[in-house]
Amino acid sequence: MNSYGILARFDSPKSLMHAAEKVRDEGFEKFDCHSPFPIHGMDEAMGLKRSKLGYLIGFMGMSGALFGFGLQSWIHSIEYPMNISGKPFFAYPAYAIITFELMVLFSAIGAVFGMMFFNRIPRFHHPVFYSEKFSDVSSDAFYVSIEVDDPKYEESFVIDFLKDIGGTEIEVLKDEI
Amino acid sequence: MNLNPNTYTYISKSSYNLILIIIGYVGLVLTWFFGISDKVFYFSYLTSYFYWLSIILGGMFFIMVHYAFSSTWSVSIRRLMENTIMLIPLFTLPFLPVLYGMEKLFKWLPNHYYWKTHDFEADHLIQHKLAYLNEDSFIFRALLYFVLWNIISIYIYYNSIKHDRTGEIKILENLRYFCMSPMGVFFFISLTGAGLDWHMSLDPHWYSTMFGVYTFAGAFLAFLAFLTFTIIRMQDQGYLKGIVSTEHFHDLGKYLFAFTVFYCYIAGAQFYFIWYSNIPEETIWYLHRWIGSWKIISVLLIVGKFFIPFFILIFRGSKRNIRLLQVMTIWILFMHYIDINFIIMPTVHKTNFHFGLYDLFTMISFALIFVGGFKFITTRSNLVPLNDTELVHSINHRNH
Repeated sequence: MNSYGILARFDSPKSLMHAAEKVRDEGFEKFDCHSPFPIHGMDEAMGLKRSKLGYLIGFMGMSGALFGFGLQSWIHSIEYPMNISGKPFFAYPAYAIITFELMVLFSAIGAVFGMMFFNRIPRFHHPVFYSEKFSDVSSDAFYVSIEVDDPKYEESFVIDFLKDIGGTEIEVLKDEI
Repeated sequence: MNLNPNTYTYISKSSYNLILIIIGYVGLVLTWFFGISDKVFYFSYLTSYFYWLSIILGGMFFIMVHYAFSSTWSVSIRRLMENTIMLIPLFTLPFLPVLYGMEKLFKWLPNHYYWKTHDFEADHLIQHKLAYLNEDSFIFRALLYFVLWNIISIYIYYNSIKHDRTGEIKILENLRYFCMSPMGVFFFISLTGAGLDWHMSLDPHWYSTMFGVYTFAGAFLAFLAFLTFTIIRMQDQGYLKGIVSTEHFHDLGKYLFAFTVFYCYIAGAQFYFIWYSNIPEETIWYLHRWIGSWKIISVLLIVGKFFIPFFILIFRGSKRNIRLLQVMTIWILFMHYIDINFIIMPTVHKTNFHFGLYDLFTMISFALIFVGGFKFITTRSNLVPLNDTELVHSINHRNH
């Protein structure tokens, strides 16, 4: 049986945050924190880099704007020119609104699907749910999980380490199938 | 937490600042004296006057929002806003030349020079607007605006100083109720009215329901740029060290970015509605601004007031880079002048953009009054409200 990683429980957001800082300082990279609610400052405590999502949204927004502007220019001045109250065919002020809307649409699509891509969802099951007690995380429990894939992973060492930093109810999680 | 008193006690010679203010006033009077019968002078004067006044009015909005929402992060920069709005008494008297030159400025007055050769009664559109646009109601409204603005500034400033001395929490509560009360609504009505009366009515045929918001957007953006610039300048001189941090600059940068977009949004909306509906008395306003070198100014406004700040301030790194932010604030303040000039001056310089001696001297005089007055008021009190219980939160403020 392969194992997925090791799970340790903490009592409060504060102790979870300190635990995350210690795990980060120990040099672990593949670990995660689980809490019932978002905790301010957790990104930094876990040593996460800033999300790349913003750049993706920016890129999508720009492409949306260009696409919207290009589409209208092409239709109105080349493909199907139509005289609208005597205004020029290439009436660029009129294109601003559709350009803007397509920019918003593309950014929104980029934001939603980019977020799903970076978070690797939809995913219907996760090895942490093999733990019986883990369901408490939706009410009052705080967990740290360290994964097997981490280069510094070594089962006995990780168990001792998690005990040292105040983790309780430590258990080894089995991997899927 | 112990703060070093040197970081919040602003030192500047009062006599020196008073001399700056007096030179400013003398400069204004002299320029007025030389241009008393020249219509261009009054337009230049209105431009320079409103440029500096709008910074104060933007500050009035920010401080009222600060109190109304019991804002925390901006407590450490609150006193600088209060110092800015206390300049209103200095800017009340300089409105007189505008009243004096009314018949050279406003075409809706029957004794405007245009009606010497044209028939006033025959202008049907203006006849319909005379119920609002007439000399008495104009003066009455201007008086009302200044009374309101003076009440707001003096009430907020003196209560804040009193809170500094006594530390009574009741005073802050009163300030919150004051800013949440209809006073906020009155302030917005007065700002809209000022925009309509002093800018939009220069071309009495033209109207735009967006104009009050346009005035507000410009004013608030200019104030934010001024505030950010002032804080950076003060930190260079050693003040506010350890009180205002990169996090505050990040927030101010976000504000600058947001209101750059807001300005573009409402200015664009105003243009598109007029462009689509294609009604002659509306489109003429933009036509005046699309001929000769005014076309360059219009394009500069689109590129310089929206695209340049947008693409620079959109990045987190540039909002946290103080030197870049400083350059951007100077640029935004410059673009605000171009904006005010773009609104007012085409009425008189019909074919080309023109920056003359009247513009130069009135700008310098008002700048002297503004800077002298700001420094003078800043020396009167601590740079931060030491008794505010939220000050510690503000200093430790973090963006997550």
